[in-house]
Amino acid sequence: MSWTQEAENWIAWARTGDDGYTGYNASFFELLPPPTGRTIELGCGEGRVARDLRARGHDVVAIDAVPRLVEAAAEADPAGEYVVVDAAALPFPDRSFDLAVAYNSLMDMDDMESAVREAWRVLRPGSRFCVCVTHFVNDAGRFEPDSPDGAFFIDAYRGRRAFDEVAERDGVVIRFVGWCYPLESYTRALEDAGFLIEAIREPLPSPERVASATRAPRRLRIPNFLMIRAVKPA
Amino acid sequence: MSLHRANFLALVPPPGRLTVDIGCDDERVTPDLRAAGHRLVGVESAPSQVALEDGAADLAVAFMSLTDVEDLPAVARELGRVVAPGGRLVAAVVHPLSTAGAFQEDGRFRIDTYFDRRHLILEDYSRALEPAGFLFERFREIYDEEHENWSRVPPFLDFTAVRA
Repeated sequence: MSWTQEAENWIAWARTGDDGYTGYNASFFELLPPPTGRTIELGCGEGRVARDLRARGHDVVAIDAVPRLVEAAAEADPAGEYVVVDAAALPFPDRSFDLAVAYNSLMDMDDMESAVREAWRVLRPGSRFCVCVTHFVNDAGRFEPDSPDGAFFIDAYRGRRAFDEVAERDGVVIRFVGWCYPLESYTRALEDAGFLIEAIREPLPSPERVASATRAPRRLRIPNFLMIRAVKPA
Repeated sequence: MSLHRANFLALVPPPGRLTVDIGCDDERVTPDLRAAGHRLVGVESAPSQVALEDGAADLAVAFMSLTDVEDLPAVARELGRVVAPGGRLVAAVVHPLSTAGAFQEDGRFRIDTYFDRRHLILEDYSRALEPAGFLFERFREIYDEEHENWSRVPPFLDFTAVRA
């Protein structure tokens, strides 16, 4: 499993310089309901989203399938609760959480639909599932040329496509392996699980991000992320 | 019947008390709805005012009639007013991916700017429907299998939303 192999690289990637997380996370946190009860984070990686949620007052259980990532998350936040478990088979009772969060993790899971179903199961009726994934436009193509003002060309949109690319930044090299989905795959997973969608966001990068990263201005033209707030009906 | 119309009609719930037909047009889905037994009130394509009491309808149908609306939030608000809680909006629009770019002569689909105020993006529909009290239930991306290009990039997007 690739994320096991790439665990050290991901820890270095997320903790070295800025991969764009700080340019978008405010849009995501804006979408969340105020903290109440317990929050579960699906696919926490090295833990930065869980740490930020805790700093905002959420009582978080963060899970990831990769033991080394969970270990790194726990080391960085000894008071936090980090558990090694597959999002597609959560060891928590039905209706035991008040908010579920998946930040750029659903597209890396081999069974995205089961993870969404599990989120629905562990949520109390009336509570929310907030998701950030790579945007369906971004997932379907590439900038040509790969420059700040390059146009964007669609390679393939329809159906689930495998993603496998090596990236390099600030001296860190990482191989990203996951999946690309059209919009309907995500909304169908939510629909089939029983969620209704309250809000959809296609956020622009923050002005700070646009000013500081050479290639960020092209994200004022082509979306990078898609954010969704869904509700489990009461 | 065109495939898109057939796909769209499959999303429309059975007839209830009253169905608002937005942009009613005998060339499109209006005859199908009538034949299915819907009691129809037809309104113009961009209804900022519908002459119905609050909650008088339990369904609003908009087949390719929201795309050119100038003030979508106002239209959504009015639909939220006339559709009773538990009722639905079923709409077909142009897919924001398809209106963000164009096919080149070599068959490649090129996008210069998705965030272009000259077309509606997904967030625009969400931002309009949210305050009107609608929650999205389903999205269906509609392809045109008879055209090679549009079998790869969906020209249309259908959705249903429930009035909370």
